[in-house]
Amino acid sequence: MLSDYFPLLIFLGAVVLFGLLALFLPAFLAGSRQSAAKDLPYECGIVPRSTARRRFSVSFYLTAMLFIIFDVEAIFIYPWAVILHGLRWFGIAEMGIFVAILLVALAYIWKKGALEWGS
Amino acid sequence: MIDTSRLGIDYGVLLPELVVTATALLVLVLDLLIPPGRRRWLAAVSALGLLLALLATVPLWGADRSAFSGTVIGDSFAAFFDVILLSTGLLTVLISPRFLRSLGLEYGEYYVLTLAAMAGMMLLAAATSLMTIFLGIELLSIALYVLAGFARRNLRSQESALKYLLLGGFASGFLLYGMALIYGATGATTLHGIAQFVGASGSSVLLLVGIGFLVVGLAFKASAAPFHMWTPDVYQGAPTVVTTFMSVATKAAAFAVIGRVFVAAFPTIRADWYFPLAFVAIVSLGIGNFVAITQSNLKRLLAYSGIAQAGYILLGILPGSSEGLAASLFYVAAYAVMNFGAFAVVTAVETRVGEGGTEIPAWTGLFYRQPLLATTMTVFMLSLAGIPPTVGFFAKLFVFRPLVEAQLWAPLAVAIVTTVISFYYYLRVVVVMLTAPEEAGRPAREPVSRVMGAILVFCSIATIVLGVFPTVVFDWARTAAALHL
Repeated sequence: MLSDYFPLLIFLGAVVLFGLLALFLPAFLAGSRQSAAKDLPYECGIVPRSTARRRFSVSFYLTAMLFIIFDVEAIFIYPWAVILHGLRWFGIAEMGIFVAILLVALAYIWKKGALEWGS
Repeated sequence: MIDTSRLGIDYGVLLPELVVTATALLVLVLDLLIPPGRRRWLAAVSALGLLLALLATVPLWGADRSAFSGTVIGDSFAAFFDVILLSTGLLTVLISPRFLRSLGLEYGEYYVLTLAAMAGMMLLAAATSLMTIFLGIELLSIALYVLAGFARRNLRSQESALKYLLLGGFASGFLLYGMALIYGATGATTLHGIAQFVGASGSSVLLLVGIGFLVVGLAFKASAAPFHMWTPDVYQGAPTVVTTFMSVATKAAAFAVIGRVFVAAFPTIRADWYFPLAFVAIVSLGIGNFVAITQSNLKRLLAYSGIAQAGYILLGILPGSSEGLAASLFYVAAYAVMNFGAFAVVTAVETRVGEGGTEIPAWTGLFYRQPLLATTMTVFMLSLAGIPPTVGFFAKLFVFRPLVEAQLWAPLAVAIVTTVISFYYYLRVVVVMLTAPEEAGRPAREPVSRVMGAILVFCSIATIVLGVFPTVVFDWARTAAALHL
């Protein structure tokens, strides 16, 4: 029973080995050349303008959280759209209920002012 | 064209849960529409929804309707727990408005979250698949995390919510890992499939480790020792109405799952799960009853008492028989009535006195100031201690009986010794209430709100009536415990 998982163990070992190789091999093969630019934090290729340790508006956090909710909604809608043709009206009704519930949530956060920025 | 009839869609099985969910959404919308001064109506709408859901459980009694590809079932077991949970929710919603107003917390979200937690708990009672069990646990937990921190300006409430969230998330992790291992060992997520596999090929190391993790996660939700560390702090910090609700309803829901999983899905390997569950029961009885003695705060005292009560309920599961399960179900019903009552009295006192009202010294001479509260509290304390003619006595008796029949002497001995010890702290509350206050003269009587008074009288009458005629409910419990998957 447990021996069925032996290939998984080999795979796990290979993953760890590859990671270690990728980490340490370049030091031997390529050597290292330090420069000031290499010590900068990586920010999509743009030269950093100031320190990252400053206060952010809490609205960023709220927006990110709301985004995730509606992001998950989209994840549910994609597979549904693929088989909608077979589901017919049953599928329409089910998704209608799902979206209606999310609409209630949207109405709630809208009315509570969670979509206002910094007022 | 996809054949949807094979999915086993049967909305009737989930009708109580659907009604509660719809009520939650309705309250959320109403909260946006009505002016803040009218928020009492939200309690009325919630209560109405819960009553409707109570009606919707009626057809489930005596039914055996497995639905949604075997992930949920509508049977007497689910209906039994639905009635306990819905009644608890209904009474909670009724005592809430006044208490919330006294704290300045009259928000509609309170009712929405309570109803969401209710939906999760009821789903747990009906769940017959690892996935629906996890869904129900998360639904009730996430709502309760927010409710525990509902008094958000109060530092203790914040502490309570944070502790519950961090430890609860950890426990959910254990639960999910256990489920993954059980699935790995048996290749099934429905309890029916798991029971078939286990019945045919017995247990394996993988399965037992999975069951072990499952016990950790469920014992955490039922606040059974040694996974009880969060209970006193969370119970003390959360607003008292929330504590009232979660101490009763969460425990009932957790035991619904424990009962269904261990007695219905794993009866063939009872020899393997007996020891860990017996350990949890014995440690709960010991820690709960001993540590409660030293408590000076009533909410903490009742938290430790709740840990001990979880131990008693677990005793009925140990024999692995449906007779034992029936005893556990009866105990859950009895616990719901008496523990709800006890916490409701704490709520009433705190509404009047403020936060200091949960400290035991504040209860000195309560009998002379608020005779109704003190009298009903005495009934609940005697019942929790298990003194006849209250329901608590028969609950304990029914749980002990299957232990004698199965000759499980060790848990029985611990239970009897710790019950005697528990008399001390339950009766101490009564003695404190009867002690005359030091100030001279007759203290002025302080009236209790009419709704609260009615609910307390109802609960104490139920405690005594069920103690005098326990067989009616016990017969129901026996019907509910006759499980098949």
